[in-house]
Amino acid sequence: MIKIVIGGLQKDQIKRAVEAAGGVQVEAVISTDFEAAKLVKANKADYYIGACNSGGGAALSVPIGILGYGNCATVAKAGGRPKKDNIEKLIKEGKVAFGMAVESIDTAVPMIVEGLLENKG
Amino acid sequence: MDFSITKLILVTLLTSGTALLSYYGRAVFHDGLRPIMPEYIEGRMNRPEMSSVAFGLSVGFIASVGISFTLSTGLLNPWLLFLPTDILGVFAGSALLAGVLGAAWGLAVVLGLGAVQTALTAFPVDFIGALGELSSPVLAGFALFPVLAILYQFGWKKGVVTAVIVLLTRVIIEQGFLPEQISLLPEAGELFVGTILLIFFAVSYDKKNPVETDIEPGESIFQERTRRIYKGLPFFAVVGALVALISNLGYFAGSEVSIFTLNEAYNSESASEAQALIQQAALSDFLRGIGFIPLIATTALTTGVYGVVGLTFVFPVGYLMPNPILAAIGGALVLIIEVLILSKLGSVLEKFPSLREASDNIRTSISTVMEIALLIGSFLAVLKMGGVTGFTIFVILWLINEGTGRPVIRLAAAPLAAIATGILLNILYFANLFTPIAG
Repeated sequence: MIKIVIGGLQKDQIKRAVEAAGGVQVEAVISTDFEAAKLVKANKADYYIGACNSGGGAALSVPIGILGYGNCATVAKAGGRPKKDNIEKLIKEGKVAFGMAVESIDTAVPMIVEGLLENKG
Repeated sequence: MDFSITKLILVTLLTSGTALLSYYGRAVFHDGLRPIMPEYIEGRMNRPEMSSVAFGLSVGFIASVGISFTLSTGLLNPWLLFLPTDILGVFAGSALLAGVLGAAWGLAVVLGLGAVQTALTAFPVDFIGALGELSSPVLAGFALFPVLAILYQFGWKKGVVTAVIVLLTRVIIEQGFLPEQISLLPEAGELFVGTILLIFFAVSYDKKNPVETDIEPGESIFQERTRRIYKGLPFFAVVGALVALISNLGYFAGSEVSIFTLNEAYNSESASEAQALIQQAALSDFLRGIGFIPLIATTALTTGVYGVVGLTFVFPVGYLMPNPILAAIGGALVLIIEVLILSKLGSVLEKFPSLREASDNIRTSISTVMEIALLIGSFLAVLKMGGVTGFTIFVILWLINEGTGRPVIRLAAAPLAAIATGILLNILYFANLFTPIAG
């Protein structure tokens, strides 16, 4: 069971996408960026997913402050598409917080969740 | 009217100032760049790396939101002015270069905008005029954001109750049931009532579910970084004064929620209507500002890097002040007060997670209602430009963006598609393939 905390914009949409992709293997919890990042830092949650208008902005700014830049990555910027191999690489590198543009939630979230499950299994 | 030496000088000073703030790592506009700045300030990232990050984060916003909003209204906006100066400041190897590059950007924008606008009005199919249609859906749509925020946070029952109350407010004001001395836009009433209800629901939720406050270690980091922000205070005040000044002079709009309303106000023939619209724009930016407090305050406190326009309350002050001198003084004071209460804000936010939750919902709601409002507004604009032909071109452009994974973000896609539709209609006109409706 992977516990994913959600912050930033369009949290309901992310939660639905996480649950659709991960089913019973994931637990998706809606929080605020600040609370969520603290949960990850305290090992009370495994991963953070957040969205904002640009993908690199509000989605990750608080997690970067709390978890450090090296642990966070933008997977889909505004105007760009998420790439499966890039996401897999980021997961292998041990990133724990992922940000994306709100436009890419429906494509990026399943890639992240599948990547995390593969990485674990 | 759109070009003047005063405008040129003030904007140049401002962009030069914000480029310097970015160069010294004191403040950046982009909320996403702010938390990465310490990596660079503290030496974990070098200047070229940092510049490419800044460029990558911002370029889409400058090209889409920054340019389309300004082209549709003739008003400058923060994305167009400050995102490039974030990049230029980080990129420049010396303070002198940062200042010069910043100034050059301001110069280029003011001169370029003047030239582009003159060129655009020369077209036979008037599409810049038609883009004025954007303002009423934006006004009416934005007024509904509290309803959506309540729906997200407190469920459909409270959401529907709010929607009914807000609708009644609108109807009562529109029918003139209020005493005549009160001149109020229906949208202002809706926003007021909606926001009060949002706060009411949040506070009563907090009363029922008391939060356990756990003060954690790590607050000392906050303090050290806050001291960095205090040191930048005089510079923030100067930039705040300039921002309020150019807002007051009608050159500049603070955000997507005010820019179209202000444009309508400045083009309005009746002084009382203009005043009401300016007040409405100020209220909109004020409420938007509230939604952004937690984000800007937390990122500023955790990084020691502030926002070039502070918590954005400088915009409403700029619009509302009776003259430019008072606006400049007011703008400087707002920035100073904001910085002084920043650490207090940080601890309040720490204690009330529901407030941060409300802020996330406010931002989500604002971007959702604005996407709808801009889509409908652009739809009205293209209908006015070219009837069903205009609509057809617009939908084709919109679909291309949707079908290719939305390279242009939704907020900017509609106005940008409307502008492109206008240009295509003119090309068709010259090819004798399109006849404007009604001359």
